[in-house]
Amino acid sequence: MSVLIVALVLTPVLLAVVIRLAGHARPVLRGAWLVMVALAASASVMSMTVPDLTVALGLTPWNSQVGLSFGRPASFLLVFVYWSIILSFIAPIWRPTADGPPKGIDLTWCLCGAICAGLLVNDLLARVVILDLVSVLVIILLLVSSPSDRTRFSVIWHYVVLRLGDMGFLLVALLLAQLSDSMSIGAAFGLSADLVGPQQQIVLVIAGLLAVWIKLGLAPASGWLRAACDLPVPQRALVLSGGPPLLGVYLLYRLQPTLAAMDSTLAVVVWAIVALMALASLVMIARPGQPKILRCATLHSVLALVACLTQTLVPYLLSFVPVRLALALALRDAAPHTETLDETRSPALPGRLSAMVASTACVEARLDGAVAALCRSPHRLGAWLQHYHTGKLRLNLLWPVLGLIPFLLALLVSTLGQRP
Amino acid sequence: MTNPSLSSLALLVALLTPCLGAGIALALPKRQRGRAGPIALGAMVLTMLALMLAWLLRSSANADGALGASVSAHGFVPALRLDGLAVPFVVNLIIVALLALYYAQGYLRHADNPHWCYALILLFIGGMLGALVADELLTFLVLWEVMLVSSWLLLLGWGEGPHVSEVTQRYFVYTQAGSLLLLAAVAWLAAASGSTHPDEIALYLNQHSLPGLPYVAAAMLLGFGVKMAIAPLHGWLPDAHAIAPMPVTILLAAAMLAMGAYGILRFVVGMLGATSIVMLQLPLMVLALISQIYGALMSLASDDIKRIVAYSSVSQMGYVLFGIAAASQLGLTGSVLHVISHGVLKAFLFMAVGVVIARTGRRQIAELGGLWRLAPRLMAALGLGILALSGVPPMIAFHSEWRILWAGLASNYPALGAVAFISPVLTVCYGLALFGRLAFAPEPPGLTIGQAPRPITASTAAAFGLAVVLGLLGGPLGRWVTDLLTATQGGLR
Repeated sequence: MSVLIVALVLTPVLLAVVIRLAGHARPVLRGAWLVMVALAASASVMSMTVPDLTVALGLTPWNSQVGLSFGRPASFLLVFVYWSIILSFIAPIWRPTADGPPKGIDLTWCLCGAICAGLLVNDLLARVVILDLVSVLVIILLLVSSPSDRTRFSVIWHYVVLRLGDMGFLLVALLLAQLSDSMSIGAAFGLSADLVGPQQQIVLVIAGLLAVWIKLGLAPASGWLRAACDLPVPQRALVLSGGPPLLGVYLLYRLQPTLAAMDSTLAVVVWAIVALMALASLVMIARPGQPKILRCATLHSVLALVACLTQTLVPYLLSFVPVRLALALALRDAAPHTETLDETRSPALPGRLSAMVASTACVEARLDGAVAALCRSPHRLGAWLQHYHTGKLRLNLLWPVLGLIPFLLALLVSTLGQRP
Repeated sequence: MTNPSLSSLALLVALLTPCLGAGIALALPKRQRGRAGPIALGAMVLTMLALMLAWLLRSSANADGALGASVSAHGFVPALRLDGLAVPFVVNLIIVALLALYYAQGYLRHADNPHWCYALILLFIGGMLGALVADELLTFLVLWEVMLVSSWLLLLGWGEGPHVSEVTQRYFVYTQAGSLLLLAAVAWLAAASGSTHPDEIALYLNQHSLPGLPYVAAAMLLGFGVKMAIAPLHGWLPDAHAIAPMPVTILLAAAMLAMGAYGILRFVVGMLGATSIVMLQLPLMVLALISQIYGALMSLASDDIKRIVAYSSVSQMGYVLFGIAAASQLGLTGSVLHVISHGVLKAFLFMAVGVVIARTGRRQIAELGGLWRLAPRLMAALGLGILALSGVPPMIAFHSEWRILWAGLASNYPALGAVAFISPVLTVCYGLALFGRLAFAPEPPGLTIGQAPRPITASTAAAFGLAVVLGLLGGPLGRWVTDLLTATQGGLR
């Protein structure tokens, strides 16, 4: 069973390498798909019969024991992710179109392996690493599927937002590790409600909710999700059902004890802000021109927050992948999202960042000017001195006399000082 | 097998080899001055071998694994010491120096008076190496000046662009101001303790209290801070890096900036004691944060691709200072590890940018674009290098960043530690802005792409390979640095 658990994580990655090396040959794709079915079936049986099993993998670079914990609800989520990738790739693999399989199949299967690792790994920093890799893989998938350089340029900026979410999770992980003196996810999150002081609670809640918000793709961090809606159907299905959104909801599930233990004033403030932002997300998706899949996914993500508030997050979590998979497969928009950017110019920096950059450049220019003036001052002083030095004779004599006076004074003082 | 006397001799040989190489390069007859490059590279390889021999044969009796050599001359005893604290910085210097000299074989092929250029580069490297192994303050200061003067002459003689004299004047003023502060601090300590040896000064400070210790520490921190280009003492850096020939830029960014960090670790933390850092922890952490954010924003504001990478050094040195300011073993380990990761990655980024300039003949970002189709492998490597610099795991910078960020959270000012988490996001911003505009911006009219000289592309590929390998070895490297720092006597008193 330990071998099976490790295989569940590694097999999609290995199959992706094989597919890539085989040049996406149809027999290889079909064989890989069948392997995934076998693994999914085994995992389904194991998840129902084995309540909890941990496989130790070894020591991490940060000197903690890392392993894969095949326990509920992570085991159920992993099974759902496997079946989602199997179902979404039935058509492209068994009934491909004349164009052949869509681009990025190998990347999608790598992403599947990373998601499975992210669900099972039981070390805080290891999970940070995997979540970072999931973000990178999603962006690479978006880049590979982008139709033009202009679209690619806007896609890479979505990584900034995903990275912000990952840094939020890193802050949560390091804070919990410091408080609990343990890198184990179960121990750290389990003790968080008891160990966290008021100030740390604020930081934990803000950073955690920021990470969740961005991974769910709620406004204003919905750009990456919007771009993901334009992916080919199988890739879109995995990204929307099992990618960052699933990992975000899973993080919310882990944070729930901390959120429940919040001071009442803080809880009111936090949930009020969350409610307002959720409302803003809903208003934004009501704008014309938004794809149906994005609207449904956003609504479904807002329900996660409601579920957290009403302590119904577990059934929501368990239904997340099937619901999102159904949405991704059923809802197809007619035309892909069109860029509204000027053809001739690269996209400018986002508004707030642009303002920060402009003011910093202003400060730098002033600092530069001050230093340049300081560096020129000896030259100016010298020129001024030279101007007077090359004047009339009495001015010519003035400088040596002035220079000699301090010397004479020093001599006088030392002579007087030596007298008994 | 240990052989302390042979190891000390090897250390002396390592220090003298760059000077010898410089002398040979200068003595070359006119028709053979083209051989100055291979001679310089050979001298560096010999230096590396001598240092490896010195470290391997050192006495195991020393608890901190240090080896030393002293040369007495008329009562003045300049001493050398290669210990666990100096080793990571020496390793960084040697790697960067080899890469830079290999790159220079192609870059300086048509330079004026290349033999003088190589000689000064070797003196520059020799000055840095000497400062890293100096175990006596006057020796350190003399070699520090050798480093500064040789770099200044390199900028003056081989700087590119219309404002060379202005930029080199500014460089001189900044760096000499920093040196004067160091000299003042050393003079004060020598007058108080009667010695110029760090161990003896440390012993004196343990037994007596020096009333002006905060001022001495502040003077040293400012002096080394100029070298690290911590904002607002960074004014020399962007222009100097922009005008310098690329091999010199690589040495300035990837090796010389680390000297400031070394100086703080050796002489402020190691000699004055960690309490001197703790006393000034708040201003140091604030300055470090300002550097991180300021450098990143200025990188976003720049149009010259060399300046973009140059300003990122200000930001990265802010990380290093932040780790030092956290005043914990984890923070120090993270800082030293970040010096190595920054050295290799920054060398690669400058080399990659240099390849772009060599192949397109352009430096302004508005005049570049569409390189994803014209040079896909270069762009892919550049993208990976930028991700690595941003701390994306499993690359090496991730291993240093999480240590530094954790040390910040565990420090006396955890709020500042939390604010520091924004810096990796800003790193990604300017990194992706550079990559995105080079790779995916519309191809400007008239842009043609040629071939760069082989040594330039080969050294860039070598730097990339090294960055990937170090990334995969991030964990063992972190443990190695931790062991080295823990074993060093007085690492964190």
